[in-house]
Amino acid sequence: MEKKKIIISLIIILSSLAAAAAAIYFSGCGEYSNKVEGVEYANLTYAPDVPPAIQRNHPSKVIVNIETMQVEGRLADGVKYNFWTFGGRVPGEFIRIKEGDVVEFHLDNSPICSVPHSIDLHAVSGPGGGAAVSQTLPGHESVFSFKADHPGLFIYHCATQPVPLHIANGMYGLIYVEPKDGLSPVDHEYYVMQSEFYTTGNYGDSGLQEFSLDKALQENPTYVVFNGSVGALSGDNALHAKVGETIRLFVGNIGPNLTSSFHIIGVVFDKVYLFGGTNVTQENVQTVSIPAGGAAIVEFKVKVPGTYTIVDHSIFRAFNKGAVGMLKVTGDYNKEIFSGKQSDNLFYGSDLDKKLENNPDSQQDVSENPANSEASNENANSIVDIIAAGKKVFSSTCFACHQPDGKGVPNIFPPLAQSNFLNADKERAIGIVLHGKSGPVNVNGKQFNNTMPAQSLSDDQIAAVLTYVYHSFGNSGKTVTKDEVSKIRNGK
Amino acid sequence: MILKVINTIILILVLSAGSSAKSNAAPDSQTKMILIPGGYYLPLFKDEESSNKEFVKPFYIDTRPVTNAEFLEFVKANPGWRRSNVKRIFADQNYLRKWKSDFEPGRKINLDDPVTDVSWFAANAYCKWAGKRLPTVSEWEYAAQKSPALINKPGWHLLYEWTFDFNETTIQASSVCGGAGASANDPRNYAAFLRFSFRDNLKANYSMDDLGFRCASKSFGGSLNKK
Repeated sequence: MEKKKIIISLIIILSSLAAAAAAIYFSGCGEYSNKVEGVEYANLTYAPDVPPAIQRNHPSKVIVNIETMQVEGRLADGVKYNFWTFGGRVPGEFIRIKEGDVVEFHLDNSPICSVPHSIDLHAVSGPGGGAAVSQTLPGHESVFSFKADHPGLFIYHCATQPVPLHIANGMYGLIYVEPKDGLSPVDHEYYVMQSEFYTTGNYGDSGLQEFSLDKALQENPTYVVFNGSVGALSGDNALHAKVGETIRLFVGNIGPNLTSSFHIIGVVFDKVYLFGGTNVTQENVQTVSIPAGGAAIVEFKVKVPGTYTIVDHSIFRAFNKGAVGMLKVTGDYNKEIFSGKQSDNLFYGSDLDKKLENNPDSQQDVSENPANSEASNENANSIVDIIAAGKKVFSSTCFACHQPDGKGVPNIFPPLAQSNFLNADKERAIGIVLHGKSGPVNVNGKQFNNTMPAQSLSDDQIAAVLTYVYHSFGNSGKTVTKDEVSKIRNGK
Repeated sequence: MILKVINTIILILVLSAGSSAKSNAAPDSQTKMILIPGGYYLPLFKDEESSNKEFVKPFYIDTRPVTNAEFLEFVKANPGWRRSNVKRIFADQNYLRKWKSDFEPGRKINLDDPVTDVSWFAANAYCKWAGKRLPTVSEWEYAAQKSPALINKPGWHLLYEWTFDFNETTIQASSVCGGAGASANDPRNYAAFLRFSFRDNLKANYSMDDLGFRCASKSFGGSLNKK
C-alpha cells in the first residue's frame, strides 16, 4: 500500500515534469506560433547598420514610427543637395520585423516640409502598398496597419505625386520581414542601398545642386551612389570584418532608373537570395543583378585581409559616378588562398617568351628578369648590348612621358634629348630614376612642375636605360654602371 | 461625385456663415486684378468623359496673393474669423498660428507678404467679403500657364494657393507608384503634379504655412458685396 502510494506520486511528479517540459518546448525555442502576442516598437537603424535578428517565436504587434523630412545635406565633397528623406537621412531607416507581425505604421510629415509625403512598402499586400492611405500633408500624421504575410527583403519609398521626384530626391529604404525560422547566424549584417541622383551641374560641381528633370528623363544620372552620397561606404565609413568571418549584406536598389550589377571586387558570394526572396537561388556568384525597386541578400566569408571594393560593375558608374564602397578585412594572411605578389617582371612580347622557354635558368629565379640575364651574360661588357637592353627598358617604362624621341611634352614632361639637367649630373639622374622626383625643375631654360614616380627597376636595368639615354638624343655619351646605381641605392 | 456633394455642402455652410459678414464693407482699395482672356486650357489630367481641352471663360484674377495686411482688415471687420473666435470646423488649430494675437501679426510677420495658415473657409469668406470669389482649379492653372509671372514672384515663400474646387480632381486613384503619368496630358509638368498632390490631400479646415490664396471675379474688382 505504502509502495503503491509512492509509485502514484512518482507518476504524478513525472507526468507534470513532462508536461512542463512540453510546455517549455512548444512556447520557448520550438514551433513558431501564429498567434499575434504583445506590442513592441520596431528597432530602426540607419545604414549601414541592420537591427539584430528577432528572437521571438511568435508574431507581435509592431509599431513603426518614421518622420519624413526635407534636409540639405552632402551629396559629395563640396556638393550639396536638398534631400527628401525618411528619418532625416538617405537611405531611410532599416525596418526589421518578423513574418506574421502586425505593423502599425505611423508616418509623420515634418511641419517644415513643403510637400505631402507617403509610403509604399513593397512588403504590403494592399492598394499602393500603403500609399493610398498614407498621403500626409506637412504637419500631419497618417496611421495604418498591415500584416506582414510575406517574408523577404523589400523596398519602401514615397509614393506622392510626382512619384519619380520624391524617389529621385532620396525617399527610400529597406524593410526586412524575417522568415519564421530566421536565417543562419552570421558575424556581420550590413545595409547597402544603391541609388541615383540627377543634378543640373556635372559630377563634382560644387555648391547646392538642383534636380535635373532632363537628365532623369534621359536616365542619365550625375551620381550613382551607395547609401546616399559619394563616400558614404568608404574611408571612415567602410564596412569592417575579420578574416574568417561571415557577412550578410541586405542590398537594395531603388534606381530610380538603373538596374545594378552589384559586385564586390575579390569576393565570390557563397549564397545569393536573388530579388530578396526567401530561397538561396544560387551559390558561388560573382555579380548580382538588382532591378530598380528590388533587392537581394548576399552572404560570403572573407578569407584574406585587405580592402575589398564594392561596386556597381556597370563600371563607369563606379569609376565616374560614385558607385564605390569599401569592405576592410583585417587578420592574418593565408597564402594558400591568396599568394600576394610573387614577382614583378618585365614582359617584352611573345618572342622573348619563346626565348625564355628555352632558358630554364631564368625561370627558376623569379627575381631574375630578361634585362638582367642579358646584362649579366658573357657579352655584358658589350656597350652595344647594354644600350640595346636599355632601349627595351626605355620603350616599356620611360617613353610614355618622355616620348620615343626623348623630347618630352612641352610644359608637362621635361625633355631628355640634349637635356642640360640630365647631362650636368649623372648621380642625380640615377637618384631620380631610383626615387622619383616631384616639384619644379628647370630644363633647357623651361620650367616644369610635375611628378615622376620612383621606378621599380633593377640596378642592371637602371644602368642600361641611363646608358641608352646618355648615348641617344644628342646627349653626352656617359656610361652608367650597375655598381654606380647600387652605390646610390644603398647610400640612400 | 461624393466630393462634389461635399463641396456643395461646404459652399452652403460658407454662404450661411458669410451672411453675418455682409454688414461689414470690404476695403476701398481693391487689389489690382488682371483680365485673363477666355480660351482653351489643357488640364493636367485627362478626362475620359469629354474632350481633353476645357474652355475657360474670361475672368479677372488678383495679380498677387492676399497679404497679411489685407487679411487683418478682414479679421477686424468680421469677428467670427478672429483666431480666438473661429470654429474648429472652419479652421484647424494652425489658423493664423504665426500671428502674435487676433489683431497683431507681430514683428516677425511682414504685412505685405502673402497671408498663410488660413483655411479654405476663411479664404472663401475673405473673397466674398471683398466682392470676389476663389478661382477654380482650371482658372488658376490656366492663368498660371498664360501668365507664369503671376505665380513666380521672387521673395515669396508661398508655394500653394487655395482654389474653389481644390479637391475635385483627385489623382490618388490612378496616382499610386507612378501610374499618374499615363493619365496626364503633360507628364513632364512636375510643378503641376506637386500642386495637385498637395491640393488632393487638403481638407477645407486645414491651415498651413505654405498655403495662401488670391481671389478672382467675373468683372474687374469683383461685384458681389462691393460698396
